[in-house]
Amino acid sequence: MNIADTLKRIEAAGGRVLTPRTNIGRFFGVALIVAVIYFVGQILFVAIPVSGTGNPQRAIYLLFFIINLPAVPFRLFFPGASPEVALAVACFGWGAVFYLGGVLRRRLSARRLTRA
Amino acid sequence: MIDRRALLRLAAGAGTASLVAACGWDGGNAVRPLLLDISRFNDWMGEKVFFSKNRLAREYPIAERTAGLPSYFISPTMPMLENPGAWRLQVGGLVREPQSLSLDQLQAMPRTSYTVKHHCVEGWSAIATWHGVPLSAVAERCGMLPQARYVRFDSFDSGYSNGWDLASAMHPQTILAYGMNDNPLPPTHGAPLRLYSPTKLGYKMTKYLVSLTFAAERPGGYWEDQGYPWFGGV
Repeated sequence: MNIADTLKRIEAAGGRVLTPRTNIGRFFGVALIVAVIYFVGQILFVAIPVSGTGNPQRAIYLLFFIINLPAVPFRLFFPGASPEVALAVACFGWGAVFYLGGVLRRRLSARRLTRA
Repeated sequence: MIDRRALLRLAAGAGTASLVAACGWDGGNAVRPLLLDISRFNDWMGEKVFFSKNRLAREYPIAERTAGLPSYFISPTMPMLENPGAWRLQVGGLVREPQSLSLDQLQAMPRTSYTVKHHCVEGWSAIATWHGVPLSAVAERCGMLPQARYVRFDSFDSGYSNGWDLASAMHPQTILAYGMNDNPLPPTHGAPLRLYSPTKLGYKMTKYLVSLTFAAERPGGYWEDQGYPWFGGV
């Protein structure tokens, strides 16, 4: 029986398959996705005509605000850093958040399985 | 990184959002208060957490100047004064002595020059040298009253205006610029006078200035009233 069949059997029995992932891939992958989302937002910000309510502009700025949140401590410690550097830090910050989130989730899952 | 099920969910969500956007629905008045509150929080972060009246933006060597700085205006054609000699900057509002200043009078006041990076809300940046009079010197000359908390800037470019908080306006690098790259300010960049600060995004720096008004209430602005952040810090 190959691995795929084994995994299917575990899932069919109600078990949860923890897909093996490389944590470092998650770190850089999330950072890259956040950077792409930022630049898509920037393109949309320029492309979308200003509406009567201004909601699209505010919504895209909310997106920028959320993306930049992990860089808040960095900007407080290094106020002279350029916005480009702060954006890079923010992207890697989200990578770190998801990396640590993944580690935590796996540990909790492992604990649950062990208890079961 | 992302499994097939998650990708399908993402595609369904993006598809729905695209459909809604294509139909012209932007959330309307149902979403607006929430977004306004978040925008105000964003402004608060910029004003109270990141901004410091003592912190200066980085200056660059003249050799690093960008060859061409894009220019923007609201009017269908480039705003030009019919009689530049008659132009005056009106300074009023919460001041002891309202002023009507000519360009010569402004140029006779303390001069500041710096080479800094300009950041546009559209995502580009460029380096240029700016020459002008610190706004704090103009505030001192007209006797700004302690009740003043904001400054409103008006231009002759189709009613373009901006509102600034007083701390940003009194920052040592906030100037009323009459020169650019060692030359008089060109019409493409707001002649005869424009507001400039390297701590703000480009749309906050009113070009083609005609008046500045010190106020107790927060003034709106051309783009700010249409969804752009009010503080607009870099």
